[in-house]
Amino acid sequence: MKKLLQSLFVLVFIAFTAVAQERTITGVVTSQVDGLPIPGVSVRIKGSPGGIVTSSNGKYSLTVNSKSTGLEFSYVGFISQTVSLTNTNVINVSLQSSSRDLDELVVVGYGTQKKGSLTGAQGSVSSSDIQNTPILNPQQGLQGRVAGVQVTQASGTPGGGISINIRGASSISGSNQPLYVIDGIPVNTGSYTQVGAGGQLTNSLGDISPSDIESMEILKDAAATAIYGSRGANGVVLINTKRGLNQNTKIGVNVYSGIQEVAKTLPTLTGPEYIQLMNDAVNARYGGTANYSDSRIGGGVRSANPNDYPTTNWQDLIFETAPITNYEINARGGNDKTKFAISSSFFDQKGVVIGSGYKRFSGRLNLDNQATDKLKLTLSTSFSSSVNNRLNNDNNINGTVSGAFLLGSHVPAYNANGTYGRDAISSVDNPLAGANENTFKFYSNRLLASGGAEYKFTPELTFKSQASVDYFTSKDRTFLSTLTNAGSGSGGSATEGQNQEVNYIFDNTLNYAKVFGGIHSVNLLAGFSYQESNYENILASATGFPGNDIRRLSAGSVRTTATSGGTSNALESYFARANYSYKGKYIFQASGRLDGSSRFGSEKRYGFFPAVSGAWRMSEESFLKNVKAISDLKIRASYGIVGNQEIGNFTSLPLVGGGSNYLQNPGLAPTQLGNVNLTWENTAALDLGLDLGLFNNRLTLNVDVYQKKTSDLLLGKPLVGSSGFTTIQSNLGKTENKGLEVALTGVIFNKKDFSWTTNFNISLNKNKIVELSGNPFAAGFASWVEAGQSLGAFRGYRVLGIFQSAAEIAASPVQAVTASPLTSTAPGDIKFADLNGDGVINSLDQEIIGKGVPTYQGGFTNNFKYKNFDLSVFLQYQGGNQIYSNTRSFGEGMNSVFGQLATTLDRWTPTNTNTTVPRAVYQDPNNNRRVSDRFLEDGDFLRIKNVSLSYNFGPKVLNALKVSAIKLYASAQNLYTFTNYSGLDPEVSTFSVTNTAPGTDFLTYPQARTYTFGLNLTF
Amino acid sequence: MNLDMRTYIKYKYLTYLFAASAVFSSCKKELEAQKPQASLDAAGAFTNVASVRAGLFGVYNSLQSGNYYGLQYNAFAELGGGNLIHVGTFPTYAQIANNQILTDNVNISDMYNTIYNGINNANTMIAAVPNITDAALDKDATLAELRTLRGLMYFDLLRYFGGSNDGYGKANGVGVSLKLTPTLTESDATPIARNTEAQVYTQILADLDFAIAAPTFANRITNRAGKDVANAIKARVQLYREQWAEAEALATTVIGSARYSLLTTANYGNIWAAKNSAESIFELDYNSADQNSIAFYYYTTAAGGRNEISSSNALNTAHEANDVRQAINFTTVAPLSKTRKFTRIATGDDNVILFRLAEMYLIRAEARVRQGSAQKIADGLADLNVIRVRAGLTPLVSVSQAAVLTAILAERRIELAHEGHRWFDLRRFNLTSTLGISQAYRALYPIPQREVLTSGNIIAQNTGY
Repeated sequence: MKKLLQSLFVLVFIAFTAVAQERTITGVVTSQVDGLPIPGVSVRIKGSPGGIVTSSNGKYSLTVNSKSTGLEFSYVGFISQTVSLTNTNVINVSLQSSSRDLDELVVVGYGTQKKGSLTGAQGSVSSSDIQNTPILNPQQGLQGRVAGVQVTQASGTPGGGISINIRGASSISGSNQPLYVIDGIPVNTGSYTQVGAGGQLTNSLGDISPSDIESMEILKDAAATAIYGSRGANGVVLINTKRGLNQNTKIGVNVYSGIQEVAKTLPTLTGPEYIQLMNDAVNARYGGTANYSDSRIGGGVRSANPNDYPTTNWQDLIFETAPITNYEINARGGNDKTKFAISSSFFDQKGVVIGSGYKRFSGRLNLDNQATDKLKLTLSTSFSSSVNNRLNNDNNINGTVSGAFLLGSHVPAYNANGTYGRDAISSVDNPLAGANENTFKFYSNRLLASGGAEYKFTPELTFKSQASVDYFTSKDRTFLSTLTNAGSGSGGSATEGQNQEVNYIFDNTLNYAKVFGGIHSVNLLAGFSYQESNYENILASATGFPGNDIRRLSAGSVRTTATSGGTSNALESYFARANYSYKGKYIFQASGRLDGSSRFGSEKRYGFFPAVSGAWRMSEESFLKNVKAISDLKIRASYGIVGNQEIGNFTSLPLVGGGSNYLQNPGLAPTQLGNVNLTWENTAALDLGLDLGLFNNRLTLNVDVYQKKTSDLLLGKPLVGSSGFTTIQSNLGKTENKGLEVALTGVIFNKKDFSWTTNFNISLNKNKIVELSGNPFAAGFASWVEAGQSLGAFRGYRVLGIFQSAAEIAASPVQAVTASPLTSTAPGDIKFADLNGDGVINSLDQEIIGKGVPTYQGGFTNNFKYKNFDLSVFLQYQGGNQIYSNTRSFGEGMNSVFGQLATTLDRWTPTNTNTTVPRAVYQDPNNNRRVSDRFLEDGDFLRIKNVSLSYNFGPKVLNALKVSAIKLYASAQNLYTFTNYSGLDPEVSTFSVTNTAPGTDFLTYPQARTYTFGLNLTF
Repeated sequence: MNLDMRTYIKYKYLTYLFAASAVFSSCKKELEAQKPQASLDAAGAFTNVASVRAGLFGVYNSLQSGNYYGLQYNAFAELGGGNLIHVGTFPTYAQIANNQILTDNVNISDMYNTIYNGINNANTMIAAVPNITDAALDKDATLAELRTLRGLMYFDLLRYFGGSNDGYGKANGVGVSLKLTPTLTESDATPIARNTEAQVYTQILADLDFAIAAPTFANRITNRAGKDVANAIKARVQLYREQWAEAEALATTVIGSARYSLLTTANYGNIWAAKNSAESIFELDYNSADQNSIAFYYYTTAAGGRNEISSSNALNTAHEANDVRQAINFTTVAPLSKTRKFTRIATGDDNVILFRLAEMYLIRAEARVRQGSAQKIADGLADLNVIRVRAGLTPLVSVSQAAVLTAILAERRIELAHEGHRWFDLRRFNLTSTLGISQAYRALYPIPQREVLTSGNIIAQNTGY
């Protein structure tokens, strides 16, 4: 059949050419790396369309005629090669791998550059790095792969928020997220939901199907990002999607399916143990015979007998094993005129917490057409549509994960009559109610489209113009059922919101590249860009529904909210870059961008962002050229000024806002003080780098040290509240990030049947708030923003131990003293440190106790290949950070009616004195629960992020099945995490994407452990 | 054909270039064209009658905030005063319930900032009104309404943050910063050192007297401040200042206007069940499109609330037998231990009564008794008995001045329960120690720590904190 097919190709070919004097050329295409034959290599006659591909053993056979001059061999990941035809009929070709090649073109801002001539710091992730891993969005693909890029998945919430900091966080109130540019389109990112869930946000970049990604380039230093000017300070992620190839159409079908489960649960008290704790706590507070039945903790009649209560393991009820599936079909092909890539995928993930899930459909079409010798047209379009079933969580008494911990285990899941069990004296809802009864959906649709034209005036001078649109629209739809606490009071409550953001981008660049006399290589770029973003939203809600069956606003009897809004911004930019290389040895680059933004104050509307950089490729020097071991040695330096314009729209204007209504009359009130000098945040970035390649680049090392000094931070300069305003937006404050990045790759073994490659990266970042306008301030639950400290520092009291006797309390600094011993410090309470030594424990006795951002982090990948098997093991790690467990602050608080963790069994009692857990006392008069190092834990972890084993079927099977490649794989994501952290997951941020309060855990949806099986088929 | 095609493309391309250059030149305009869509430029926002009226309602909107009358201002006076207990989850509420307020208590900070925000809104409008030339605006009446509200807001600040450890109107009482001009720019926001309590009263009285004297300032619907409201506020101010005769006279003015009447014993609950009853002098309006969370904070979760606060047993047991108010102040039907004064949990539109006739009787009762003569004590007792009888209780018979005062305080606790008086009454009677407070300075709430720090101590913290 294969032969028949080939013959068919040949026949067709003959039919097209229809010229006499034919002959057949045969040969084998092998890889220069390992000498093995490469199947699927595209072989065609130079200047002709069509062509064939090599068979599974790398062989080809092609008929040529007398006009044919040469054969072209091309294959992904290898450098294309053209061989001139001679008299011989056998042409064997050895293709050179492109992956490590210094002549390889890499994508940079507004263009491409030869890897060897880069002067900036930039890392990259290719599609092969992330294949076989069930990642849900582009950001996850960056995690642990590139030095200096810290990716924090805030929670396991399907479709939930994810934070990326490149070389540390520099902004306090603006955004610290990088600029994402997809196929040249700077896209809208962040969360678009208008309905809060307690902590977790949504991630609009989840609309990008990871399987469409060809590569991601991460621009880190000013040399690389200054071309993006006022948006370059947080780094830039350039995402390039798969484009068509000059090959016969190849159809790929990729499917994976698997299950997800929670890796860990936390033991809680049983129902009877909980009641016993409550009896102890109430008695400690009210004395006498007071116990859980006491009316002072809430009305109604309750038994205080522990044996009257059941035990409900809420975690067993809310966590489930959930399926995850992804289907993708793609086709890539084309000829020398027109190339295309189309793909379509469907992703379906149920959450490991009941009631949650995420589905995404996406499609893409990328087209390239060489209209004339000089004019090339490109089109990149993608559409995606997703549905997110959300849940309340984190800081939310109606949450599912939160309810599972905050509601005591003494409450039955269901009452005898089938209604949800509840605790009459607790405000926490049954965690099953919200998950089962509510509607909480977030729909998003996104169209990314860009059309471009490239015109070569001369081989050196190219003009490129691209017009793009990023159209994002989302819809929130919620209904709080009358069967839940949140909906029962209002007779059902529905909220529907819709918003859209449309970005128009118009980019024009002129590029001149020429090598003079083989010595002076010049690459010049000048460009103009205009971008406008328009956001609109509408939100309406109603209460009072006729039951829970009709959930649309039209059925609500009380219309409570009807609001809409709109905002916009525009950015006008001029930019240029000049790159000069002398003999490929000495490379200089200068770039600059002038940005005018509607966001800036009228006096500071335009900002200029320059960068200069240089590199010395010492390996090209005569004194190193003969050192065989050193294949590449380059040192780099760059310095530049980049900005952050993510300061919000119209923050510079003095405003009077509507909506301050009264008596159904319209009301107006001042809302914002103006600042005509308001402008971008400014970052001066210095980078020194070293690239070393040894043994024909079998071992490569990249080292960068950097320093980023950010000034003019956008901060609400505090005003006295008695002025009527609390802040005025100003450019104040300074931060600094310093760091070291090391990336090491190596081919450890490279034998015919066995190869082992490894990739290790580590980055260290030290963040410091250098200057802060006004007072230090608290953020989150335990975070603290203060000059001299790291952004994301924790502040609180220090625990010395537990008071064992009244005498010890009397001899210690005063904590809580009232007229009654029942509301005063007692044995079993925590002894806090009197840090200022004034004999009283008060707010002055707090200090910085840790930080939520890691000191070091990175990843370690090992790929093994044995015959047809591939094994990839990817480890991710971070350390030096702490986690503030607000979960424990509640779960070990023993001060209220909340469910308690099993750790409280070790609470202090007169007979259990050797413990670190204080006594149980209702209302906690000593405030044992205050923010202290008691709830602070080390956040270091090493995670086996992914292990995947794949098998590539050999020629026998392929021939039998008549396909060109089959790969089967099994993969485990988040397989195991080594950590001392006691909570569900050490990679956590209850505040989703946050600058000031990272590393806080409060009843956050944990990440799942995922096992998937996949099949990749190529026809 | 190929050639034609190329030529065509070239021309198309040139056209494209021209189009591009046209776009270049229009970009600058586009930067300027981006304007806020839901806000006005502050300059020139209040230059016509419609916007000034909207600005006036904007001041009422400040009163409605959950940080102010929309919940916390009144609830904290009840929570700190022992009429409410804290059964919910907010640690900052617990501080108030335990009378152990920290200077960084965010609810206290929010309350302080919200009231001053309302004052700035009023200041902005008071400055804007004189510039309106359109005769459609009654400038005097508008100013009178604005100044009445400003007077109320300054008084409300004093009640929590000012005075002395042993009450109000004493020598050396501390006040709050008096800011009477709008904050339009950063330089207007310079910290102002706290004025004395007496200075703040002088300003409050100037505002109220302006309103009372404004000829065209009439009474309006119950939901807006009119002349009676100005008199009622002033009556309360004078009571706090211990200007007994003044307080008596002002209460008499309101009572004597005969525009308000006490609801009957049987209809007592209708003061809240029905909105804007005959008894109400000034009632803050809420409706389904403009809600508050008061019932939500009270109600149990089973009833759809967040169960943050409950009526205390102490309040319950303070009632005499057969008092119709007991069932209103301490519910015995679900939701238990709450109040019938705030019940509209589904629609969030319980009105908040700021002044009602019963308080005027109680003000006059106390003002009369405090004046000490036998006649005044008897007259005061008569006022007290109006309230007692209406509540279904027997009248008190003549007893000593001290005993009547104690009875009045007890009556105020029951009659005005959940309405934000208890803490201030205990302060006025210098009885905060009965709450178990051993540190007398806690009678005054702390000035928010943020305010003290931001001002560089120009705005001084209350003693003790």
